[in-house]
Amino acid sequence: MNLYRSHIGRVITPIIVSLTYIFLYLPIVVLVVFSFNDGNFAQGWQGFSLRWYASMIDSPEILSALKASLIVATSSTVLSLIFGTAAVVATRWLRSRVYLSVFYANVLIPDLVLAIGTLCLFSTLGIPLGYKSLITGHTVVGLGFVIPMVAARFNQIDPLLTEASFDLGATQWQTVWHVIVPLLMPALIASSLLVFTLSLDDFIISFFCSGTQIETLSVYVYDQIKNMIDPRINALSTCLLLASSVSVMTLSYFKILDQVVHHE
Amino acid sequence: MRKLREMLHKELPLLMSLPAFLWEFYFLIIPIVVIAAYSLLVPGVKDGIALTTEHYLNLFSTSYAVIIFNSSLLALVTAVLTLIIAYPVAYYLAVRAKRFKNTLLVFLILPSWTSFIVQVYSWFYLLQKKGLISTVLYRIGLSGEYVSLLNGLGASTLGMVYCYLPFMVLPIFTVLDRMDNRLLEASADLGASWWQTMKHIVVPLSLSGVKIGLLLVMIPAFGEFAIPDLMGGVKRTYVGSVVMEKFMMYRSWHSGAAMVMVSIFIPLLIIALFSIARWWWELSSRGDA
Amino acid sequence: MNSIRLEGITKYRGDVPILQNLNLEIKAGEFFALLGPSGCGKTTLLRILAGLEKADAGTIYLGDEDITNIPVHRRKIHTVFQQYALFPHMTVFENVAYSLRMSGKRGSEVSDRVYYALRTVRLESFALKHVTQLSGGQQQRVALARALVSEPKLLLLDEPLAALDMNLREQMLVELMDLQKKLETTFVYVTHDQFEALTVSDTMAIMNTQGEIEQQGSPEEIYEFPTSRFVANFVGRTNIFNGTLIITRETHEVEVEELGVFAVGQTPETSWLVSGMQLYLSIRPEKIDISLDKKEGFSNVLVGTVVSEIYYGRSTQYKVRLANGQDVMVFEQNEEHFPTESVAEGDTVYLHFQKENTVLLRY
Repeated sequence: MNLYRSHIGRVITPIIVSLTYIFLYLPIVVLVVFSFNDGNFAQGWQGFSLRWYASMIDSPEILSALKASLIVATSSTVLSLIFGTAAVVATRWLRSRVYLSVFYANVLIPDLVLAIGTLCLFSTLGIPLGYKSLITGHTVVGLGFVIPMVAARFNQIDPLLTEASFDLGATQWQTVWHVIVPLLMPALIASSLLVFTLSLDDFIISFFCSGTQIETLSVYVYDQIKNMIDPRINALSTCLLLASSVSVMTLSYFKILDQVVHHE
Repeated sequence: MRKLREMLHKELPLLMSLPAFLWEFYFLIIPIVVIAAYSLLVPGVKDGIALTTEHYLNLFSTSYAVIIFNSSLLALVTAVLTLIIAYPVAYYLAVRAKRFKNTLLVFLILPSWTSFIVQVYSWFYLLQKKGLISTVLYRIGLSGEYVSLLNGLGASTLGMVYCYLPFMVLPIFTVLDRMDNRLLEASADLGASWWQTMKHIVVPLSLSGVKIGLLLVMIPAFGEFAIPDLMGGVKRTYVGSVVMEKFMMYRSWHSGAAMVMVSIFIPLLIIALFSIARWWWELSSRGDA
Repeated sequence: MNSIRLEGITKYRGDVPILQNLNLEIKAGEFFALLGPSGCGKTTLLRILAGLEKADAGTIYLGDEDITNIPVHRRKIHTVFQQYALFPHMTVFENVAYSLRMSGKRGSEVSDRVYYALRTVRLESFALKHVTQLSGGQQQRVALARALVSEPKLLLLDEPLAALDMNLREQMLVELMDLQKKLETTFVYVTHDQFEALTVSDTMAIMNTQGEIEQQGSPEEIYEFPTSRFVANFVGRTNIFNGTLIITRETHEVEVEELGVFAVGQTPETSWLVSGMQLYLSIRPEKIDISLDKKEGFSNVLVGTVVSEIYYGRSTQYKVRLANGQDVMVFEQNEEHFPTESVAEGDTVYLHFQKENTVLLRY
């Protein structure tokens, strides 16, 4: 848009933007590159090697951390998806007399507060920390994303479609399965991906609420950083980066990302 | 039995929404209440309820005041820095970038979709004693030895800004994206320079996004401990680290709870102060027009 | 038998009554049109018939069966919606097959009937296309096929052609008529367009803004013998004169202030005629002969000045001002390239009409 013949803004802005992106990606690129480095530390390139990846796959701690993270992520995604969607359908369509607005504030609750709260709650009730506490906390966060996103998509569905479905002889249940759920699908997929990724990446809630038996991936990385730097972490980080990238690319490809962004 | 089925069918909407609401109540609201309760209870009293404000009052002591100040400063600095960087980026993405808007957006979000631990680690790797930057400086001769750049406020802030940047860009982008570009054309048509258009059209319209961005950055940043902990060495203590210690190491949950409650209120207070300041500024600049 | 009987249908929206004690009878197998201005409640009535809304009072009979309390998905009544409401995530085939699938049918029974329905609306080759790829007219026909495939007892059409352009609309009207005749299903067609209603219906009913049925009958009856000014003005255009009825042994006459006495014909329903009563006289513009000279052989003649002349291609519309200040509309068909006499603005003209072409209206 060349409305102005010349002004600093036109020149400076792209520079700032480029620098920002370089800033964002510089450490990541270094991280990934050196995950293939045949040697410790970023002291020098000692040849291409996949040894850290192999070592990573061999490591029992990493595998159990991965398993823990996956269990928590899958469970909380499923729970928040089912409960959240049910709440949206019940409220917006069947006209349940409750308000969804309370869930929109979930995203503003700092992780720390939720983590400590869950910790206190479980210890007051005498329930040991572990999968239960993690899944509990993550589902709360999940609901805070599923409900706004599914509700937004639901509002876009032409109400006449459900009437047409009834008119043609479908029951409520059939209408839900054949008309509403398919039309909600972009929001369902987007929110599941989002919740799953957030759960995998979560640190604070995992840190406080995992208890002694379980260690998730982020907590594992944290411990490693505190104790010693291990290039296996580079390999692990690269894999996590890859997983997130695939997730984001998928959403973007199906143009679902616009809806996520615009919903914020 | 038939009556039960009928009643079930009639109340189906309520039943369907119940799990989500129960979950919200028991696992979000109750925990916060529990924290508040802990913060007000006398420690060690097993039967009955003895309330006290000592935990909060203790926070007014110098040592805690310093910690709260540190966290406030960190949150504030992070917010301001991210705003300065985020605004032009959001503007560019929303208003200028045409073909690459979506691609750039995707790449902006990508780093933050990984665990922030990974993000921290990536800087850690660069800045550590035997990391890339230190090695380069050493090899060039600018530094006499390998130096760890992970110290103090600088590195912590760097890490914070790095992790929180997208949270500031996205809300501003969303608001600016929704803005009709033809407003800018009209402004230019009516004789406004680029700067004037920014000041009178773009900035006012983007303020709601800025507010959300500030909320999304300051509230979590205040309670942050992992980033400064890993990047800043042990020179300063923050609210988050204190909370961590109290809960994980010393079992002094009551004062810890008080600190957590504080970490909800202080950033809100700062933002409220901002709002008041802006309102006052708006009021006093009414004379402009 | 699939006749419809509505008795005492009442519906409130808040405190405002949309429909009040409405009674309607629709014969089995006929093409019935419900005509009324926008917002009069005709769509509400249709939705009540479909079961999408519940009346506050009244009964609905389908044949002999009271269906008032049967929920929408169990009535064998299907609707073609104004905005089609096709399921955007399904193909044409899946849309049409929907009602069959929901009632549990599977396999070849479904596909045979779907293809038959698609053939009937001439969209067979579009079966696997997504509905979003179709034009307005094509979507319309899919909606039609979808509603008809399961052979409902009644088909409701809610202003189905409103979104189409003129030429397509006329074409679709003819197709709908053919379809209805072929299927012998009762069609209830709701519209605000009198042209559509007059074209397609066997019987039509006019609904006024209070949600009441003003008149019901065949298109000819409605047009030629309206029973109220509302109907006379809503269906076609007319000229209304306010006057006093004079009944003598041989004639019926209406005296209009300043204009004189008109000879009037009989309305089919004469029981309400009382000599001396105030009533209205209606004479349609096309039934008035306009000429520069006075002609013989007409029961009624008026004099006036041409105030405006609008050329419509196949007809010309004149507005003529009478002695009492009232304007009369006259339609004259343009039968010749070079008419023997041409009437222009400002001319003094004679208006002629026969008493048989007048209609007396009580209100």
